[in-house]
Order: sequence, then structure tokens, then C-alpha cells
Amino acid sequence: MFAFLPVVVAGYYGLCRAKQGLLAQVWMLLASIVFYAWGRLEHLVWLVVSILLNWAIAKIIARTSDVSTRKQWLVLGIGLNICLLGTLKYAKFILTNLSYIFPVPVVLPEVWLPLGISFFTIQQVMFLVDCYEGLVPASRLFDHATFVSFFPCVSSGPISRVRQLLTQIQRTQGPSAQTITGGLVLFAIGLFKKVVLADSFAQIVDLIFNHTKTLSGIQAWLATFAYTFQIYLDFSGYSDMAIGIGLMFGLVVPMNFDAPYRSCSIIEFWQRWHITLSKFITVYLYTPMIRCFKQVSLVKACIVTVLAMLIAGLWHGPSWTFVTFGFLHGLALSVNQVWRKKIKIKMPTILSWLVTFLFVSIAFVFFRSPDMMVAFETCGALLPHGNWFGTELDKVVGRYEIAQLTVLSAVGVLASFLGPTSSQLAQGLTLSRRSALAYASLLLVSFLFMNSTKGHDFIYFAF
Amino acid sequence: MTYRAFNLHVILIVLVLGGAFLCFNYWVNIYGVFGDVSGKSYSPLGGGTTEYVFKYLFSYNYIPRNFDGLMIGSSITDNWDTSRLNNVKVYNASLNGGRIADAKQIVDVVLKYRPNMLIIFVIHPIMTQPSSFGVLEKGIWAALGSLELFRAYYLKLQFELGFAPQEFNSFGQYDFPEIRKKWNETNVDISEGTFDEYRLLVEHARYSGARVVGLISPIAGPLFKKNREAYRRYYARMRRLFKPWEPIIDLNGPEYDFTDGTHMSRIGARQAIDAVDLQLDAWMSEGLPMSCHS
Repeated sequence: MFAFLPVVVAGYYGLCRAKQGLLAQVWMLLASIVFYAWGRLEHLVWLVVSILLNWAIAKIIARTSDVSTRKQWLVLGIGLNICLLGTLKYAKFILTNLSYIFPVPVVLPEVWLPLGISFFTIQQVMFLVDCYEGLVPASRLFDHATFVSFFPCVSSGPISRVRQLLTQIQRTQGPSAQTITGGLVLFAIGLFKKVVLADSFAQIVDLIFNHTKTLSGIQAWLATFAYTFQIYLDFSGYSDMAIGIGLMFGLVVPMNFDAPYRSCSIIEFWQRWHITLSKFITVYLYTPMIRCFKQVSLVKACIVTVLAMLIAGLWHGPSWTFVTFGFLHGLALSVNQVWRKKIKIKMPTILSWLVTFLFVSIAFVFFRSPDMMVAFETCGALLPHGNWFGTELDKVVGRYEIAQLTVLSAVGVLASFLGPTSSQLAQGLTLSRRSALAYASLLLVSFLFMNSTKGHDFIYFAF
Repeated sequence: MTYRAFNLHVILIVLVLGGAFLCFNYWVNIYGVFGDVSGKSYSPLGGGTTEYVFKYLFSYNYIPRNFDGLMIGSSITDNWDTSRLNNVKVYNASLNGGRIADAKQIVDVVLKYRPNMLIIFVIHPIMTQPSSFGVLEKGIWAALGSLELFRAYYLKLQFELGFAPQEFNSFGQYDFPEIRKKWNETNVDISEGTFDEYRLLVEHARYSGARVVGLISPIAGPLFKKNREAYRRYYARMRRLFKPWEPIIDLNGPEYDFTDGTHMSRIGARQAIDAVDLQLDAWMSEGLPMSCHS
């Protein structure tokens, strides 16, 4: 990162300044290919296959005037995307579960999941649907490849629509000093959130989730809340960095988080959490499903909500824990809809916030747990039981580490609940030596943490 | 201030402050990883993970430049003062809470820089238990700026101001104030994964050209009597990792009478290392055989 990012941004900036727009885009595409292939070269094959396939189908859809033929090609395109994702990500899960019903031994070759396959598959599906609906033209292969492989977003989003990003890529005059400033600020905040705050929570979470059989009540709650903050700071940190890098290229990537833990309802939570995925669920899953009904009732809306969230849960990974996570959120969203439309009792703000936050935190136990057994053990420990106050953390972690984790966790909690959001900080930036020193310090402290033993991968890299 | 000036300020501050910080750490060189440190003394500070970080980073430069041998073990041998060995200068890389996986990291690095070392492998059931401190992934870079480095500075400051005693010597000995646990039960069953790690490490040392010595550290009498058969099986299996020409010093033989607990007292540790010294002397005088692969 230390060499790659400055070189790529400087090269792009130089080419844009020299009015070499085409070369700048070539440079961006090459950088994205290098970034993607860096971890495992063979992953690139899947990305290229996906790009070629979707570009070709989009071209056919654009050239076809007959509606039913267009629809057939769209269905084929979506089906192929689902097949690609299903084969690489879900084949083992499906066959393992089928083997419980039909006891046949399942032996599948170990396939490395291509980086960001869940994310770029969603972008491809959105692209095909937008082409089908005539919202965007079928782009050139070069443009389509640049859009899909754009390196800040390819691994974990934010999920962009073609018309949001590609138009900017084609028309950009290059980054200005102002967009670079915004990018630097967001990148510094994101990096700090990830490597300093999220990874500190991760240490607590990993320690406790490795001993779920003997959890005391206090440990279970500590792990639950610590993971709630870890995943937010980790993923929103990544998103800030991606948006920041986008700005360094002069591109505005859509926002992904808007202080979700301040939400007072689960509907509001999903309007603030992983916003680009929420939009995809609403526009490309929920809406088409609800359109299948001639008359929409609240019950039908609730059923569709649960279905859409089940799919969204499964999208995160081939595990029953993710399915349960999606189901719980679908159920909560349905209850929220019924509450709004039928019950209509206004709860005190603090109570509704508390209920929302507690629900979100407990649902994340399923998201974090490696299997359902661990999830149930952890959830069981949250309930009052014999071992309520016992903690052996001090025997495993030294006083120095406990002090360090406490301070950093407090900063993380305060930032999540009370502080301004990253985009507010970037927009409200005062240009002064003091703020330059502050953001440079954020970068330096983050580099220090990155060079230490406590580093963790981004959680969403696994998806 | 313009946006352009702001960007330049951020970049310059990062470069200047970051550069100054790196230079300072290079100059302090608390882990002895930079430059020629022959003849210099470096001591670890703090226990647990911090001791591991120190000894691991010492293995890049300080140990290969200043020592001819390395003893790897756990807390059982951590308080043995290897400076008492007369014929060979051995660094005690034992780690309080350490296992074979931790020792492996140290041995791997040392052998890279000094392949013909004498490596004393302590044989004790605790070494083949499946846990470890993890890996200091950043390796030597951690010495230029990391949380571990800050922790080291903090401990150094405490020591310099007289708030904390220096418990280590420059030979890596961790001088326990007293016997901390009297009869600490150890699981004698061998975990197959760690046994393999141990075996591969001995083989790696042998193939690198190192002289390999096994050392069966004393087991407290009551523990040994309680689990006599299990211990015998354990040692028999571990002995098979060593070639016939590779000496094994067994401090559980009838000629020794250590009355200490799991961790030895200062006197016990002194007696034990002196017994090792005698055995090594004997072998040295006969010409301790080099590895057949060297």
C-alpha cells in the first residue's frame, strides 16, 4: 500500500494533467488488474470471465429490440452470474447440507474464493438490469472492465452503479487539489478506524469467542458489544478508505455508512448501514419480488422482506449463521413495518434506540460465530446464568494490554455514538496547519499499528 | 491555506515526523538488529510476549554475532544462566510461556544468519503443548516502529528510572525472584501436531549444519513419581528425534538430585546449568560431533 497507492495516484494525476484521459484510464485499469492479481493470480481469471460474460450479454440486450428476447437474455445473464457465484462460493455448502438428507460422501476440490466475488457479481447484476431497463447503454469492454475492476471498490465495495461511476471515469478531468484533500482526510480516518480501533476490538472479540464454552455473562456481553463496534469500524473504515481513494482519482464513490448505531429503528438502521447493499436489496430484490403480487398487503410485504433479507444474509457467506442473521433482520424489519403501520405506538427515543442497538448487537453474534453451536453458546451466556461475573481476561491479557484496549475501545465507542461521521469531518475540514498535523498524525499512528502484531484482515474481504 | 498547501503539509509532516521516528529507533536500536553489535550487550525486558519479541528480534543480529550456541525451552529453563557454560557461549532463548512453535521462529532466523550454531533443544512436555505467542509477522520492521517497540521503551524507561528491576541478563536468563509454582501439573500427552513441529525443527537444524544437543530438564520428584510411565513414554519418543551421535543430556538420571518444583530455584538452576556444563565439556573435549550434513 505504501508504494502502490502513491505511485498509482501520482501517475493518474500526471496523465490527467497532461490531458491524456485515455491513457489515464488505461493506467487506472492496469493498476486495478495488478491490485486484484497481487494476492492470487488465478483470481484474475474469474474476474475476467465475469467481465467478458456480462459485457457480451449487455451488448446483446442493447442490440435486441424484442422485449421478451431481451428478458430472456437478462434472465440468462443473471442466472450465469448466480451460477458463477454459486459454484465458487456455495457449492460446498449446498452439497454438504444435501448430504445430510441423501447420505452420499461429498468431495469437492478446494477452490479459493476470488477476492470480492460477491461484490462484483452484484455490480454485474445491477449493470445487466440497468441495461435491460434502458437506464444505461451497454458500455465498451474497456469502460466496463475499468468500472468493475476499479481497485478501491472491487474487494468490498461500496457497491456502485454503472451510471454513478462510469460516467465520472469517462468525463473526469482528473483529481483537483480539493478532491485530493477530501480523499486524504477520508483515507486517514478510515485507516485509523480500521487498524487502530477495529483491530483493538478484534483482540477482545477473538479472545472471548475462542472460549465460548465457559463464557460468563459479562464476557458474553463484552464480546457481543465489542464485535458490534469491530465490524462497524472495520467495514466503515474500509469504505472511508475506498471513498477516499476514489476522491484521489477525482471520482465520487457512494457513501456506505451514516452513523448506523444512532438509529432508533431497524428500518432506520438499514438506511444507515451498508447503504449500497441496502439499496441493492430494495431496488433489485425487494421491489421485483413485491411486483410479482397483484395486490400488495402488509403481510405480503413482510414475507418479501424476510425473503430478501434471507438472500442478503446468505450473500454474506455459505453458512447457516449468515442465513440466521438475514432471517433475524428480515423478521425485525417486518415487525418494524407492522409497528409503524398497525400498532403506531410511539416509543421514547432512548428506548427505541436501546432496543435497536441491542437487537443489532445480538444479531451480530450469529454473524461472527463460526457455526450455530458457538452462536447459541454465546447467546445462551448472554442470559442470566450461574457464571455471571467471572472473567479470566486479566489472566490471559496483561495490564498494559488491558489499559491500551480500554482507551482505544472508549475512543471507538464514543466515535460511533457521538462524534461526527467521516464524511462530516471531511466536509467540515478547516484548512490549517493544525488540521494537517492532526490528519498526518492519524496516518502515522495507523502506520505504527499496521507494523505491529495485532493486525487483522478486513472482515468483508472474506465475502 | 489552500487545498494544495494542506496536502503538501500532510505529506511533509508524515515524511518528516515518520522519518525522524525511524531514525530515532534505528539509533536507539533497542533490539540490536541494526549495525555491527559484536561485543555489545542487550538484555530483554518484561516477560511473556515482550520477552518473546525481544528474543525473536535478537535472533536477527545480536545472537548470531555474539553467541555460538542457542538453548530453546520454556519457563522451565528460562532462569538457567548459560553464561556459566565455560566452553561455548550459549544464548538462553527459552521463553516464559513459550512452546516449540515460538522457539521455531527464533531458531529459523538464527540459522539463517549462523547455520553452524550449537542448538540445545530442551525436552519437556510443556514444549510440545499446542499454543504459541503467535507470529511477529513484521519481523525486523517491528524494530523500526511498532506497538511492541513502544512497550519496550516503556519498560526501558521504567528500568532506567528505577521503577522496575532488570530481571534478564545479556545471555537471555530470566532471573525469577523465587520459585513461582511448586508442583505444576503438566499434560504429558504429546500433541501430534506439535510433535511434528518439534521433529521438523530438529531436522531443519541438523540439515542447516547446526550441532544438535537434546536436554531433558529435571522433573520435580513428586510429579515424576505420579506419572512415571507417561514421562518414560514421552522421553522415549522424544529421544528418537535425535540421531545416535547427537548427545542427549538427561538431568532426570539417578546421579542427579534436584529437589525443586516445576520451576527451579536460583540454586537449583545453577546446579542444573553446571551439570549441563560438565556434560558439554566432556563432549567438547571429545570433539562434539558436527551434523553429518554439515
